[in-house]
Amino acid sequence: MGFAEIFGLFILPAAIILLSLILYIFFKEEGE
Amino acid sequence: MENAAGITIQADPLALLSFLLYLLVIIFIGVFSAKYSSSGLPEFFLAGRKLKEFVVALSAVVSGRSAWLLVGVTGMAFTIGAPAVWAVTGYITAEVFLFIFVGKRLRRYTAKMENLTLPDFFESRFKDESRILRILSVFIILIFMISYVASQFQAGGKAFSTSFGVSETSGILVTAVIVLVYTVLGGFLAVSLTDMIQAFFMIFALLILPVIATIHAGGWEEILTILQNFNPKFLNPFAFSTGGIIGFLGIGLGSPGNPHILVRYMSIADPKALRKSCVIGTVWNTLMAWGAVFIGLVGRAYYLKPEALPGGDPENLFPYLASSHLHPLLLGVITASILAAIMSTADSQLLVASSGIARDIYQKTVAKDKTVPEKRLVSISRITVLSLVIASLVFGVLAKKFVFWLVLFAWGGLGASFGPTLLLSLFWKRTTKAGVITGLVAGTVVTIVWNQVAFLKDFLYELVPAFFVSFLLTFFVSLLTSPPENAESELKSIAAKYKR
Repeated sequence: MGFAEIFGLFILPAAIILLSLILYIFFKEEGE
Repeated sequence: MENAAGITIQADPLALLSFLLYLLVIIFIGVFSAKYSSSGLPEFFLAGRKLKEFVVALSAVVSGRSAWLLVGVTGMAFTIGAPAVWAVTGYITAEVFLFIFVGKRLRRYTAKMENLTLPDFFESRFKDESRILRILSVFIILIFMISYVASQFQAGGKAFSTSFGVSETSGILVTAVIVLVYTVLGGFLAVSLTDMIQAFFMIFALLILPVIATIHAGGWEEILTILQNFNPKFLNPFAFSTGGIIGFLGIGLGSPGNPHILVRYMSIADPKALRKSCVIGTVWNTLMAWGAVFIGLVGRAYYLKPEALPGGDPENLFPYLASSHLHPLLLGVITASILAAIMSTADSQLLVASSGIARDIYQKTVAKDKTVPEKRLVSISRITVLSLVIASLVFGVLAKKFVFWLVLFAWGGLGASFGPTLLLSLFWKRTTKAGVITGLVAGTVVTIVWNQVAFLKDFLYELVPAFFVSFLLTFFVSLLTSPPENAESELKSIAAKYKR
């Protein structure tokens, strides 16, 4: 498997989950 | 018994048993929620805005994921290979942002103004006493939602036919009756709780099937070798046209405008908890989506020629691969998962369409000067759900051949009309009623026209141009007209205050 294949099947889904975690960490509201 | 595809299938008693157990649980939830949901419209249509982050997260993602994911995306990955990942990337990414930014604002505003529906929201936001915004929104919701629900029922018929060998018509009727029973009884609470259970069925089925099928094939290396020999570019997600990738990513533009997803955010008890819902929902969304893609890829290694599938139809891959590799008990779970995807979408859409008639048309327009008892309003809502099920069944029979076309069409139409107008209404104080009316009409018209012109449709999925036309028209018409009073302070009061 080349990079393109690994990217599409494994890195891309991991990156989306990571995005949600980043937003979770950095968009904490006052009172939370 | 022979199904519509001409393939002989014997329903296994164990598969039927596990499937029937699942149905019993779903119907029990409907009965369990009935008393609470009968107390009034906020309870029937929004579960009293008391839902927890976990329920909202799962309900929001599975309401948006119809049979299109289990049957359509698996078939698409089977046909085109890894480029199918772009069809799921757009909507999952869009929904990450929806949970964090749009959901919170919408929940705060609608709770403050006691809005139960999206048309309610538009009317409050623009202080529209003419009812034009409300009626126009309901009209758009109804035309697209009936096609959407019809397509879900038809997919249910197909799933029953492939898995248990009953006729598609019987399958359609069984799907409709089950959805009808628990939605009518339990309203939003039953729909959300069943969504949560259905989310577990869906993720289990989408993850277990590719793993078991891969093991049976001799491992991932074996699958890779077969697929490389079949087509060296099959696993390359970039081996696809740029227009195709943009169109696939553009599917995500539909998420902010689909009312059956948006009302999930409105039902959460604490809007701040949508941050947690975002992570839970995204993990679920991603695992389900890539599970579907892997099923398509692994399935191709088994059936290099589509003719090997029932009816030569790639959309039969998911149940057919399951019937070849799983124990009958698990096969029942797979069938349940397809029905779960279908029902979790159809039930939410039925409630949204029903709220459009019972709340927006009846309570707020026809009977606006009367005080109608809450229990009577709930009864009217229940009768409306029943009527919409019948309307969807009739429509489904008339448009039998176009099930997935209908899903993408309805997803696009709702996304293009409500998406841009809602986003601008929530985030831009200069948005005006005239701008929103123009955007709603433009989104709907461009979706329909683009879809009907062959060369435009082949060039790009109609949602993408319709979304941008609607956005630009809402923006420019708003600039030319006067915004409602207090828009700035209203929007300021619902904005999140982040920790520095």
